[in-house]
Amino acid sequence: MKLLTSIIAVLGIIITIAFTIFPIGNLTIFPAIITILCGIILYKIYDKEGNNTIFPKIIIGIAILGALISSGRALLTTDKIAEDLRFEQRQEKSNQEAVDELEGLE
Amino acid sequence: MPQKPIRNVLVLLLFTFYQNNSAQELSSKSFKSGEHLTFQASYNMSGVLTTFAEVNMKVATVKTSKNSYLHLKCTANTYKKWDGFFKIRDLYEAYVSPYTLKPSLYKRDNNENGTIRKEKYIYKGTNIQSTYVRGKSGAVKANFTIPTNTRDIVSTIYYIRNLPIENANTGDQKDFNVVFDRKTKSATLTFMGTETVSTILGNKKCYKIGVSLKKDKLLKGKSSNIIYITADKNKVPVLIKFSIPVGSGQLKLTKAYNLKY
Repeated sequence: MKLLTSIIAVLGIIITIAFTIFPIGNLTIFPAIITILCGIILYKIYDKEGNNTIFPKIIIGIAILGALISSGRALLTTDKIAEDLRFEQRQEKSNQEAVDELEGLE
Repeated sequence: MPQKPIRNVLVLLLFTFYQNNSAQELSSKSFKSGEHLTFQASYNMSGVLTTFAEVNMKVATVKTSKNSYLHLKCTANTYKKWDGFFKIRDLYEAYVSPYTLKPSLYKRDNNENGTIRKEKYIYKGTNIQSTYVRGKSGAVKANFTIPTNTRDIVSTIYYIRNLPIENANTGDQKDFNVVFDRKTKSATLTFMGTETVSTILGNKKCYKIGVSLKKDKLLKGKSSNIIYITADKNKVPVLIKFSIPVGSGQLKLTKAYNLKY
């Protein structure tokens, strides 16, 4: 039980960190919740055994932090596209070339 | 002064004017030059829709020394937040007749995280003169034949908007051909009835149209690829749900400028 919960918690924290880095918004909450639950279970087991509870505390802390960062970013930032001068120039060039092509077809 | 020839000329002029106007009607049924639609593209990740790109569809008039064309332009840009991970700057264009919407030229210029893919089709009846560039390799030119009334992906979208959907009954189907990646693909549109969709234009009654490609892994099954088009004169595509082999997602209308009605 302790080993399985630890494995799930470690996997959960890896996914939470990865999802926090990637801009995938609220999806981070799912692995974070699983990690927090595993962290609480581990905390109770460690506490019951009289062991140092630093590991479950770190797990819970990182998961909460990841969920907060992702949710905050999803709420506070709006979806915007970057101004891309090169792409705009590509479009203008393409249009000009197209006009020449069409002239050639007539 | 002979009056009959003058009258004949006038009749001919009026007839030509009438013909031009009725032909103009054809292309301007549901959209006009200057129309600009913006969509938000989302990808389904474990049941949660994650926004990743903006798709813009613009209609403009392009004039050459002899003719004028409708320039149908479709661009896809990943949002700033994704640019560092996977940057997409895709351009799809079709130059079509403003009267018949028949394409004369199709261009595709994709840059997906540095991978370049360019394609150009010059329509000559049922023949296409294509030029294809992938990566750093040089341009490959090829000619191929297409069935009549075959269109590229961009002009097909606008063609669908001009179909008399209002006369269709649930379950009605229409087959058509699309040329993509230098291959002609047979597709079927299925009218799946109407549905009210919450959109940027308000709650709109929409035509629900299923799209499926025959004998193709892409866009398989009519129920998973659906276009919702407003059941009004503008026939604006407000929601497009797609399912591809690597997942599913949707395009949702976020802005609409210069609608015809």
